[in-house]
This record gives sequence, C-alpha cells and structure tokens, in this order.
Amino acid sequence: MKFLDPLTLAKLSTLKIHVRQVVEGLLSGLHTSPYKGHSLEFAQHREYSFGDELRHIDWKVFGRSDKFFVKQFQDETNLRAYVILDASGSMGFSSGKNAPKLEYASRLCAALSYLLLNQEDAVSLSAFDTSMKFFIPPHHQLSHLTLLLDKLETLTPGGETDISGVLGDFGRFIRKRGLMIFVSDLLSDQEKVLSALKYFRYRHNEVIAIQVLDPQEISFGYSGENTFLNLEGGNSIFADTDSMGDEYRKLFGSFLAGYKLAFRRAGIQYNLVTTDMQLETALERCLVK
Amino acid sequence: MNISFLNPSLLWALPLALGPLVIHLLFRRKPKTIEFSDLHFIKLAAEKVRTRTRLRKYLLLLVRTLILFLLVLSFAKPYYNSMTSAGNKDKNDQLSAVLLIDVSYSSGYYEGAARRLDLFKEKAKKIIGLLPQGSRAGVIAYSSRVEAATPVLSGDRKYLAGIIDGIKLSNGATDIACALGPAKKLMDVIPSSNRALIILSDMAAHGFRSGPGQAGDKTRVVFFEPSGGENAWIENAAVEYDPAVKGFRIDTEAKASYKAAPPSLSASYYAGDKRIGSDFLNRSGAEAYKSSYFTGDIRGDVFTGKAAITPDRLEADDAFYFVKKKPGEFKVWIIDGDPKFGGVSSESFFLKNALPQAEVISESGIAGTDFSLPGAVVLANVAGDAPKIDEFIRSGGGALVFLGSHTSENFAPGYLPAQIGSKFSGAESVKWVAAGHPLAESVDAGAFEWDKVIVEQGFVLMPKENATVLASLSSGRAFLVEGEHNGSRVALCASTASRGWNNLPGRTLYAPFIGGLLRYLANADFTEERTAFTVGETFRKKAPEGCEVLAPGGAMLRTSYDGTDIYFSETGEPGIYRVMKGSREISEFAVNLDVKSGEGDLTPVSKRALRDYFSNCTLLEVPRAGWEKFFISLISGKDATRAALAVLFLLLILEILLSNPRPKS
Repeated sequence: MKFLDPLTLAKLSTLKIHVRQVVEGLLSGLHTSPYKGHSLEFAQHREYSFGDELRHIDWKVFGRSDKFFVKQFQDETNLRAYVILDASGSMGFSSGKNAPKLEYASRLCAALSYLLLNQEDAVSLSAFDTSMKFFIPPHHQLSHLTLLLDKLETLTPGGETDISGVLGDFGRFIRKRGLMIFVSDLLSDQEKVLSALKYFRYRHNEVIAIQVLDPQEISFGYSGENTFLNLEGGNSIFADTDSMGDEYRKLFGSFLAGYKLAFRRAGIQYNLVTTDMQLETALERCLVK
Repeated sequence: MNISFLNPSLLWALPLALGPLVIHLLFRRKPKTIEFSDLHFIKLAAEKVRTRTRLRKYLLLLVRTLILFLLVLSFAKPYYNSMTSAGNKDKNDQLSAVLLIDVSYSSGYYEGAARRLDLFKEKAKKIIGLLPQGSRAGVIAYSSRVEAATPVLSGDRKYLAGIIDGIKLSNGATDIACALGPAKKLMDVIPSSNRALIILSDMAAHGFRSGPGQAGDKTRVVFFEPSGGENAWIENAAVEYDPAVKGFRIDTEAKASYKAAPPSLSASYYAGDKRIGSDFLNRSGAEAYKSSYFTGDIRGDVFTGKAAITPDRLEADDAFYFVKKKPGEFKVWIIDGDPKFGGVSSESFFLKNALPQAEVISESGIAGTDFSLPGAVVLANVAGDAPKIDEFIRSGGGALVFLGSHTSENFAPGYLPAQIGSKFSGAESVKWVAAGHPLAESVDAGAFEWDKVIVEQGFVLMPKENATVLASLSSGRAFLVEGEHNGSRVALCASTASRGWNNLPGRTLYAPFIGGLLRYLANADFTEERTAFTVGETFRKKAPEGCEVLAPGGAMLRTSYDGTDIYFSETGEPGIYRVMKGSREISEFAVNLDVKSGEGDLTPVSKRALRDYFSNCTLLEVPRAGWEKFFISLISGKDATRAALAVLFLLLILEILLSNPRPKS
C-alpha cells in the first residue's frame, strides 16, 4: 500500500482518538434523525445526556441500575463519510521540493479513510476533474479500505476543474446526512465553490473543506522573467516575477483569506494544508479543534 | 551657447552609449517555462503591474544609456561658452589675456623644418585673431629674463601681431618666473574676472625651477600639449696645458636626453676656425658622455677654439668655446736707453744673457712694438717716459726699471714705486730685506750672496706709500723697491743694469735673480685671468680705457671703463670675443650658453609639478592638433565636466534604485 505504509499506519494510531472525538462531535450534531418511525437496529446503550429524547431511555436498564441510559440505533452510531478528492490538472502541480498535490491529497484521503473505517464508520470515496471520475459508495468494513486505496493509488491528474458542477451532481449520491470531506486546491471560482459546498451544509451535512496547496503557490518564490504553463488547459503567460511577485502574493493571500472567512460564516470547517507538512500534522490540523 | 571639447577624439566612443539598448534587444535571456497550477492570479498580478514594470524597464534603459553617454562626454572634457562673437557686454567679464612666449635658446629646436619659436609666433598670431571682440591681450617674450613685452594690454590686433613678429630668439636659459610678475601687473591694470595666461613654450621642466608661479588667483593658465624632444649638448670643455706633451688636453663632457641613449657621441675639436681633430665621447653613467682629447703643439701663447658634437635639432648647445693661455710663457722686452752699439758696455748685454728670449729695443722702438701679456718690460737707463709703457703696465704687464746715466730729473712716471732722488756714490753692499716676499724662497739670500754685491753709484730712492723695499744698501737706503701700478707689479733698482755702477751683473745670482724677478713682475705663473663666461655675464678686465670688443658676429662693440677696468655686458652670443685696443688684440675670452641650467634637457614638466607650480590657478591643457576649434571656449568658457559627472552620479543612484525595487512587505 503506497499511501498507508507501516510507518504511516503507526503514526496514524495516535490520531484514532482524535478521529473518534471528531466523529462523536459530528454525531451529536446529527443526533436528531429525520428517519423517525423506521425500524432501526439497536446498536448499544449510552449514558443519558441532558437533551436526549425521553422516549429513547431504556427503562429496563434504569430499573436494574438506577441509572439513565438511552438506546442507540445503528444509524446513529455509525457515520457516513463522503471523501471527495479533486483530481483535476492543477492537482498535479509540484514545485519540485514536495510531492505533487494529488499524491499528498491522496495520502491524506487514505489516512482519513483508514481512521474512519477503523472505527466502523462508513466511508465513501469519489474523485473528479471536469466530471466525476468514480464514486465508491460508503461501507463500514475495514476491508473496504483496500478498494479505496487501489483507487487512490491509480489516480492521476486529469483535465480542468469544475468543482461547482461536480458537487452539484454529487448531491444525488448522498441519500442520508453524513460528513463530507472535500479535498481540493480550491483553485476555482470562489463564489461557485462556496455556493456548492454551502448547499451540502444546507442539507444538514457536516462539511470539512481541506485545501491542499504547494508552498510555492502561496510564496511564489520565483525570480526573473518566466513563462508559466497552465497544467489545466495548456495556455501560458509570460511574467516578470521580480516585478509582479508581490502583487501575486497579495492577491493570492486575499483569495485564501476570502475562503477562510466565507467558510467560517457558512459553518464549514476549513483547513489549509501544504504539501511540505507532515501528514500527521495535517491530519491533526484538520481533526483537532 | 558654444560647447567645445578638450578631447574631441574621444567622442567616437559615443555610440557605445547605445550598448544597453543593443544588449536589451539582441541578448535577451530566453525565459524559463514553468508549469503552474493556476494562471489566474499570475495574470491578474502581471496586468496590475504591467504599466509600472514597463515604465521602470524603459526608464532603466534610458538611464543606463545616459550614464554611458555622460561618461564618454566627461572624458571628452566639455566646455561651454556663453560669450557671443560680439563679446560679453559686461566689461568686468571681458577677457584679459597675456601671451608668454618662450624665447630661450631651447626654442631654437627644429620641429621639422621650422624652429619652435617660429611655430610659437605663428600660434600666437592665430590666438590673437581668435580672441573675442572686446578682449585685451599682451605679449611677453621671456627667457631667464623678460626680453620683450607690451607695456599695456591692447585690443589692437595689428599692433600685437607686429610685436610678435619682432620677437627674436635669445641665448638665455628659461625661467618663466621672470615673466609671471610682469604678466600679472599687466592684467591687474584692468579689473576683470576673466583672465588667462597663455604659455607658448616647450614646457620643459627646467623652465619651472623657481616657483611657485605667482600668476594671480583664478587665472586660467593655458598651455599646449608638450612635444618634448631629444637633444644632446656639451656641458663643458675644460682645457689644460700639458707641458709633458707640449700640447693641450681637452676634457669634454656632454649630456643627452634620449629615449634610447646611444653608446657614444661624435665630437670635433677646433683651434680657431680650423678643425684639428675628432674623437668619440663615450657614455659614462646615465646621461653623461666624456672624453679626453690631446692636441698637438698649438702655436702661439693662447689656445682659442671650440669643442663641438654633431649638430642635432637644437644646434645652439652643440658647441663649447674656450680660451686657454699657455702657462709660464711670458715675453720680455728690454728697452735699452744706452745701447752703445751693443757689446758689454750696453745696458742690455747682461740682461740679454740672463733673458735670452727677451727682445731688445731702443727707446725709439717703443712706439712700434706690440707689448702683449703675459709679459714684462725692462727699462734700462731710459731717458724718458713712454705712454705706451704706462699703458702696458696698466693692462697687466710687469716692469723692471734700472736707472743710469740717462736718467733725468724729470723721469718720474707714475708707475715707479719710489721717487728718484739725488745721486749717491760710495761702495755699499746689498742686503735682501723682504723675508716674507714671494721671491724670498727663489732668491735665497745665502745662496745668492747679496753681501758680495757692491754698488758704487746710484740714485737715492724714496719709496712711495704701499711700496715694498726688497733689498737695501748697507747705508740703509733702498736698493730695490717694488710697488703696484693699477694692479700690475713694478720694481725699481737704484743702480744700473750694466756693470757701470755695480757688480750685480757679474754675480752668479744675476741671471736667475733677474729671470725670477721678471717672471714675478710679469705675473706669468699666477695668471688666473678669467676667460670663460656665460651668456649675459659681464666681462671685466684690467685694461686701458678705450678698448673695444670684437664680438663673434663681427660687430665691434664699445666697452665701459671705471678707471681701472674695462666692462663689457653685451655677451648675448656664444663664441670668442676679442678685446682690442686699436688694432692690437690684448685679450680674448669665451662666452658659452648657460648649459648648467639644464636648458638642453627638453623633458616636459610633469602635470603634477605644473599643478603645484600654479597652485591657485586653473590649468588647461590644449592638444596640439586641432586646437583652434575650441580654444576660445577653453580660455573664456566654463568647464562642464563637473556638471556632467554630477548628473552621472545622480543617474547612477537612480539606476541602482530602479534595478533593485524595494520589496513590499
């Protein structure tokens, strides 16, 4: 397994607790199930918390223990996590010092998938560029990980990005509320991206947006006159980086700040990771609040 | 406004100023191609700074071009002149210029077919013609003294040109200091802040010895690019008589200022105008060439001639004149007042035996005799005085007077060291009494047996003031008295030269004594009459009044007389001068150039030495070729080099700022 080698797995072990906490947090947010009256498979008891519905209290357990416990059903104890990975051309960028963004993002997705599957949460994986490349429905068996990893390992950067279009289509794959982990460089129309992600939030999904960038895309540490070739589309532009470098950094910084503010307002958890970060650091940043 | 350049030849480099543009157009670096994730922000940023970047780039190109342009311009030394051809209306700003023309003998150096002085004069006339209207100029011709000068500054160009035409080469050395004071005085008469000294000279270092130059503050000192030159000259020719070979030895020393010094110089030697020999002066040390040449027997008592090297571009210093007398040879004339048809009875018989080289003449023969120096006359029993004898004595000749039967009461010429009294008779011996006298050693009293000399008759001598009694009689009366007449020595004997009145001629001491006495009186061994002078020096000699000097050019010139000596100052030409009394030559002397001044070395003065010399002035060097075009801007214009350099400096700062824009935080 390219993305989950033993060393990586060993590092991830410490993050399991963090994942569990995140999931529990998320689950508490999803606690009011829209599916009342359905026959739900009993899964386990948990101690009563203030605010829990009284009709779920197991009185038999109370009678035995004089303590209040509520019943948890299968849907409530297992999260559905939808991992959506941007595999457009821009994700193939690497400044040379670090791994390409897609490879890093794939590793990130693999790690997240492992952590979630390890605690029996269902994980779905999909990738896109101009359109959805593939969609793997969610499953909670750990053996599902193999399929996910195979897909990730064979993933290559594709064409142009159409985040809003893809997300729009993706909506039909989500039947139940869950967690959407959106991994992309977000180098697209900011308004459209926000709008698309807000839609999922609107549909009561928890959304985590992870923006993966190469440090060079932020610092723009180039010098002299260069011709920049677009990885998506093939067009190019000539620029004197000595004279426009500062302006680029200013504009890009504003772009990132715009995302940060907008995501916060939309209630979407936003994390910026760079490909020079250690994987566990990136995961911690995403998972630990 | 006129702009001129001191170094216009450097303007060819102006196209180099287009270098940055050429490099920009032809040698642009091919940009690197970099794959990037998203060009959106690059495009936005590039568009935002496009105008600013383009402006900065073109400005940088312009600044770099201007820097190179100004650099070339600065090296070309620009001058601008706001004066129009009508001159400047402000009188206080009108140009006052003095042309200093070097007429020292080194200006006789030939550049091609023309002498430097002629080239200076041509240039001076052109400069006069170029001066703006309203300018005033003066001319001073100088060597080691001012040779000619205009009395005031003048705007009359014809007048100034006439002065220049009349300037002649002198034989003096160079010292510009003599001309600076008069030049400043000329310019001070009319107050003007626009002053210029224009030096027309070979600018050799020897001309700037005595400094610093007092040219006046804020005066522009303009000089032309020196041309230097190679020259050889004779520094000295020392002549000495060598009795062993009975000839003269000429020790010649020459010097040369050559880039590549030859191993030897060819020299010729002349006796009078006749060439008597030649040899080579071999190099001795860094600059000197030496040789010793032996002549054969030179007829006559005086060796007059010259040593000469092969003429070069500066001929004046290629010859060295000399006059050298043969030492020890002197003439004696015996004037026999009582010849008695010769024989032992004559006054001159014993004298002639003692002095075989002497010429015996009678008193009547005095007028027809040429008395020369060194020499002495013996007056033996003469009856009267002869003016020619007095003249001879005054000119340096010696005299020995013997009295006798012909001596009259009236015989009292002024040159006698004692008054002659009455006769005496009675045998008396003689005693030498002048113990400290120069003759004392040569007339050893013991050996000469003075006491055996018996005088039976004689005259009483009363020595005059300052006379010296050399020998006296046993009675105490003077026998032999010596005195000076006009610096010459005269001795008087109380008795005869013959054996008529005494036995002195028969004594063995007689011949050596008379020979030694006459040599002493003639000053033959001690003659150190100066015969070497430099141009401009005053010649002085004991000689009678009325002498004339035959100059080398053939002119007969008068002398001055102060009662004892003749004076002659017109020694402006090198060569042999002859002092004449009538048709008789009484003396010669040599005049040479003042070569010890270093005039022969034409090495130009260094710029640094010149700056030190004219420390309060602005020095402006004009190239020799093509000077007319910018001369006026130069002497009355303003130096724009500093302004150009100041602008260049500012542009350099601007270039650095444009090349390294401040990074935005």
